[in-house]
Amino acid sequence: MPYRKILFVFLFSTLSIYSYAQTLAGISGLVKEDNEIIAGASIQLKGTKNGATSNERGYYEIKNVAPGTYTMVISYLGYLKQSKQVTLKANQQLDVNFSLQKDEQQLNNVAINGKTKVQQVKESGFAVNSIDTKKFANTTADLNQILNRSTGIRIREQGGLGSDFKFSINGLSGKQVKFFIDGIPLEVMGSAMSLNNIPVNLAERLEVYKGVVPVQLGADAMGGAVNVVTNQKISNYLDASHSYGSFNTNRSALTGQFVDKKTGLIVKGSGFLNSSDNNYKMKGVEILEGGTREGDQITDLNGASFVTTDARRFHDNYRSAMGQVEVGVINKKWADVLFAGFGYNEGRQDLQTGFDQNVVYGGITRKSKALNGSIRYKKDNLFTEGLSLSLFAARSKDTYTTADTLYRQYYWDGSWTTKGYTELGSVKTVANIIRPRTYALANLSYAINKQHSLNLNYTNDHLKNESYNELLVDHDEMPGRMNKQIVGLAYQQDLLDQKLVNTLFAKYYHLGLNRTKYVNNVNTLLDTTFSNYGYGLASRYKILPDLGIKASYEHAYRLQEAEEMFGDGLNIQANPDLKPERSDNLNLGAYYTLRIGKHNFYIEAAGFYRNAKDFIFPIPDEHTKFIKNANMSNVRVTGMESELRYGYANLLSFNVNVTYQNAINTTQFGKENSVNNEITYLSKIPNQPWLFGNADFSIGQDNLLGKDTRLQFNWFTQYVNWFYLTWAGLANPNGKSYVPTQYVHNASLSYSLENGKYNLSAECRNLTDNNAYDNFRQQKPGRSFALKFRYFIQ
Amino acid sequence: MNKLFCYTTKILLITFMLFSISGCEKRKEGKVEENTPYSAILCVGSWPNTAYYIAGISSLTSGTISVKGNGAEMTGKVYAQDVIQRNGFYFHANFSSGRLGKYHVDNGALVIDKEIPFTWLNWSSYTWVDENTLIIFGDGNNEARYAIIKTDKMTITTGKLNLNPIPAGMDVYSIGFAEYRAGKLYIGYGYGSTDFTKYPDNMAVYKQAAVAVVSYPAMTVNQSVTDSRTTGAGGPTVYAPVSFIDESGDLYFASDPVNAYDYQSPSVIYRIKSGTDVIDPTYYFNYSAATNNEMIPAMWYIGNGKAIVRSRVAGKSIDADHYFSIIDVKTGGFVKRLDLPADKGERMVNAVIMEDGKAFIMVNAADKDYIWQYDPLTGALTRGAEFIGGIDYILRIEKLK
Repeated sequence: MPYRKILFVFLFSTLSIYSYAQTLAGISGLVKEDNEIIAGASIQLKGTKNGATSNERGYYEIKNVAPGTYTMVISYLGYLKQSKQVTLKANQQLDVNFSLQKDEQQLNNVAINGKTKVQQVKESGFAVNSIDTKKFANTTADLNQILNRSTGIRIREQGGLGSDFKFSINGLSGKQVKFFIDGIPLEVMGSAMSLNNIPVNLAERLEVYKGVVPVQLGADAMGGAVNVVTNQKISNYLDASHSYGSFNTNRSALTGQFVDKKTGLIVKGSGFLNSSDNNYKMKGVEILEGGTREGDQITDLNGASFVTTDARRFHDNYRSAMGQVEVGVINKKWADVLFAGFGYNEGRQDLQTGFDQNVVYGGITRKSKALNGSIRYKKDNLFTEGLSLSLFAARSKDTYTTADTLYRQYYWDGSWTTKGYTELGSVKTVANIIRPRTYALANLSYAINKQHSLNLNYTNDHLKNESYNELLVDHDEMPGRMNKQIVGLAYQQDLLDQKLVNTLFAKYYHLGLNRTKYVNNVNTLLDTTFSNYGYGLASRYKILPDLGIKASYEHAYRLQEAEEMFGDGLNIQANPDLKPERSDNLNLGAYYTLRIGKHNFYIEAAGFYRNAKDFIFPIPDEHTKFIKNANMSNVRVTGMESELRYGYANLLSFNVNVTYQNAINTTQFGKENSVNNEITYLSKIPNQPWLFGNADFSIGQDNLLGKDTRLQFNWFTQYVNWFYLTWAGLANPNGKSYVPTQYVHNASLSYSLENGKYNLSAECRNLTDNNAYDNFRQQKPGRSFALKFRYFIQ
Repeated sequence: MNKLFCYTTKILLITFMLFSISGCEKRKEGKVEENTPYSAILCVGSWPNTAYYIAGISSLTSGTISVKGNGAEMTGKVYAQDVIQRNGFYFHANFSSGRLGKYHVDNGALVIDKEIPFTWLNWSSYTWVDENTLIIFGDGNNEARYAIIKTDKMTITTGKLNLNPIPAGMDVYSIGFAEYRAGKLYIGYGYGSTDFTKYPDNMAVYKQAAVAVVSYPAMTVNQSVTDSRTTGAGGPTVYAPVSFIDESGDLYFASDPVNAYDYQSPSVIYRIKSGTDVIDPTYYFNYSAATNNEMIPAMWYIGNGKAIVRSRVAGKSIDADHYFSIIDVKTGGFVKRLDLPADKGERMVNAVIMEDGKAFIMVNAADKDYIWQYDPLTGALTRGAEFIGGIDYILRIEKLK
C-alpha cells in the first residue's frame, strides 16, 4: 500500500472516530441495596453490546452510546433483575441510579454461580481463598471445618470439638498464620475465641490470604492470614440456631442486628455456646487388666498388664461461650460508622492426651476467660472526596489457666495409679497466664482518581504477659512486655480499563520487648527493639472478562514474642539472640469462569513458593527439662493447588480441589558448630501431609415439599494421602511409621421452610467410620451424627 | 478463548495425573543386615522433626555406618536416648506414658517384647545384679526409689530407699551412680531444687556427695557416707556411666558439680575400696585441678588401673566441647589427653566400647565422625568405622553380645 494511501486512511478513520464520538452519549450512576453499595452488578443496554459493571464504590459508566431509546437491564446474582427504559440525546450524560432487591430464592446458591463479593476478592491480585459461608449456614460446621475444605489449607486437630489445632497455609503454620475477625486480630478478643469454636452462622465470608497479606491486615503474618468477615449489612436480622449431636455435643449460635432507621442507631449482638463430652471411641488402645483396684484407682500394679481394646475418651469435656454486643450509629455527618463494643468469652477444657496417644491424662484442665471493650469509627470522604479514615481501639484482658495437680498416671479406661510426679511430669502447678492488651488500628485510604489509590495502615499492639504458678506465688514478679507497631503503605493501580490491577506495598515492623530478670543476683531490665522492612506486590491481569492471571510476592516477617526471647519464668528459658522468622513468598495463578446457559464452570490453578528462614522452634534441654526457643530451621515449600467447580442453576453443584506441596528441609546444620550438611538437609519434611484434596457435591430443589421450601443434599469427601511420620529416606522401611491414606466421607440433608426462615438439617460425619488421624496417629472422632435447627429472619 | 480453555483443561489434567502418580508412590521394602555385633543410637533432624534410630554396626574398625534406608526407627516406641542395652535387648522407662519396656531390633524394625505399667520412679541410674536382674533407681514424690526388674518376664518389685533426709532449701534427691558389689549396692546421690526461678545463676546448691550402702536383696540402707568437697555423685547414668569396679574390686566414681549448678566445686573421682563401705580417705583425685577446671560427665574403665574420661571444658554451660583423656585411676593421676578431634556431642553420650583389651571411642567431631580404636598397651589411636551422611547426634554405641 502506498504511503499516501495509508496516511489518508489513517487520517480519515481518526477523524471519523473523532466526529462520531462527538455525538455519542453516556449513562452512569450508582447501584445500591438500601444504603449498601453493590459492586459487580452487570448493567446492559438490551439489544446492544453496550454494558458495564459497577465498581467497588457501586459506580458504573457506559460510554459511547448512540442516541436513542434503550432498555437498561441490571442484574446481580442473588438479587432480582430490574429493567428501566431510558432515552438518550446526542452528547447527553444521563445519571441513572439503581436500588436492588434481594432474591431470596437465589441466595442459597449464590456462592456457586456468580460474581459475588467472594468472587471479587478472588479476582484481586492476592492469592486468596474467599469462601461464602452462607451455604454452610444450615450445617453444624465451625470455621475450621469449612476452611479445611479449601485449597492449600490443612488444619490438623488433636481430637474432637475445641481441641488444639495447627493451621497451615501452603505449608507454613503455627504463629506464622494470623487470624482476624473483621480485620481485628482474633487474639485481641481473648483465647476462647478460636476458629475451632466459632460457629458458621457468625460469619458471612472467610478470606484466606496465602503468603502475601494486604496492609489492611496489619500483622506480621509470614505464612498468611485468615480474615473472618461478619455480616456488615445495615438491616435487621436474626439468626439463631441450635444443634445436638453425638458425644453429647451441643452448639448454639445467635447473631442479630436491630436498626432504627430514624435515628441511625444500631445494636448488634452475637454469641455462642459450645459443649461436648468428646467421648468418642478410641480404637485399639491399651488399657490395664488385673492388679488390685479400689474404684478407679489401681492400688497395686502387681499382676496388671496391658491389653489392647477400644475405649471411650473419658477426660475431654469442652465448653466455650462468647457474647459480644456493639451499639452505634451510622450515616451521621461526622461519622459514617461509630460503634462501641463489649464482649466476654470463656472456655473450659479437659486435656486427654499428650504428645502421642500413649500419653493419657485424666486430671489436667485448662480454662480461660477474657473481657474486651472496643470502639470503632469510620468516615468516608473526610475533608476531601475519596479520603476515608477508619479507627479501631480495643482493650482486653485474657486469663489462661492450666492445672496439673495430680500425682497420677491414667490409662485409657479411666483407671489410674499413683505416680512420683504430676501428669505433665513436674511439680504441682496451676499455671496462670494473664495478658492485658491494648490494640489500636488506624487506616487511611485515598482514591486519587479512578486509576490510583493509596492505603496507609498503622497498628499498635501492646501486651503485658504475666505467667506464674499460683501454688507457689501469687503474681509474676518479672512480667514480659511487648509493643508491636506495624505500618503498611499500599499503592494500587487500576489500569487498562481495570484489566490490570497492581498493588505495591511496603511494611515497617517495629518491635519493643522487655522483661526484668535476675542477672547475677541483680534484678535487671532486659530490653530489645527490632526494626524490619517488608515489601511486596500483587497483580492481576484480565485477559478476558472471565479469565485472569495473578501474581503476588511478599518478603514477610514473623516477629518474636516476649516469651520466646526472655522465657516465661516457668518452662521456657531465655534466648536473647533470637531473630525474627522471615520468608519470601511467591504465588502465581489463573482463574477462568465459563457460563453456558444455566451451566457454570469455574476453574482456578495456582503455584506457590515459600522460602522460610530462621524458624523459631522450642528446643528441649536435657539438662533442665526446660525448653529454649532458637532460630533452628529453614524450610522451602513449593507446590500447586487447583479447584474446579461446576454448577447447574439452583439445582446442583460440584466442587473438587487438590493441593500438592513439597516442603523441603533447608536447615543445613543440626548443630550450631557443624560444618557438614545434616543428613536431613534437602529432605522432605516429615509428619506433614503433602497431597490432599476435597470433593463436594450438592443437589437441591425448591418447592419440592411445598411452596417456599427447599430440600438440599450434600456429600463431602476429604482425602489425605499417606505420609511418613519421620524422615522419608532414613531407616529401614520395614519399621517406618506412617499415617495411612485417609478418606473421610460426610453427608447432610437440609430442609428449609418459608424461604429459609425455618431450617432443619441432619448430618453425618465420617459416614463409613474410617480411621482418621492428624498428628502422630492421634485418633480423631469416628462416625457421628448431628441435628440442627436454625431460625433466620431479615 | 476456546483454545485457552482447552489449554487450561489440559494443564489441569496433566496436573491431576501427576498428582495421582505421586499419590501412588509406594512405601519401600527394606533390606536387612542380620546379627550385627554392635549398634549405635542416633538422632537426626531439628526439632520438632527429630527422629531416633538404632543402626547396626558390623565392624568397629572399618566400613561406614549410615541411616539412609538402614536402621530401626524408634519413633512411636522409644523416643529417647536413655536406654539400657544388654544382649541385644533394649530397656526404657517412659515416665510420661507410665511404661517400662523391653525391645529388640528384628527385620529392620524395633519390636516390643513387653511393656508393663510403670509409674514408680523417674529413672536416673541402674545396675545389673546378674544376667536377669536389673535394678533401676530414681526419684518420685520427693523420695528415692528403686525397682528390681527380672528382665526375662519383665516382672518388677518396687520400694523406697531410706536415704539421708533432704536438707532444707532442697526438695528432690538426685541419684547418681549405682554399682553392685558382693551382696551390696552402692548408690551415689545428692540433692536438687525444683525452684527454677533462680536458674541459671542462683540455683540452690547443697555441696555434698553421698553414697548409700544398701544390702541386697533386702534393700535396706546400711549407711550413707558423705564427702563435702564436691556436689553430687555423677549421673544420670542411664545416659552414660560415671563409675566402675576394677579387677581388685575397688569401686570408683566421678562427680560433675556443674550439672548440679555448683560452679565452684571441682569434679572429683572417689574410691570405695574392696571390702570397705566408706569413701577411701586416702584417695581424692581432683580432676578439675589437674585439667584447667574440666568436669567429668562420663567415665569408662579400660583395665590395668586406667580409665577414659570424657570431660567438658570449664564453664557454666553443659553444651560445650568435650575431650577424651586417659587417667591412672589407681594412683589418681592424669595421664594424657587423647589426640582426638574435639567432641561436639551432647553432655551425655555413651561413647566407649571395650573389646579384646582395646577401647573403641566414638567422637561427634565437627566434620567427620569416626569410631577410634585406642590400644592401651601401645597408646596407638587408629581411625575405624565412619558415620556417614551427616549425623549430628550420635548418642550411644553399644556392644550387643
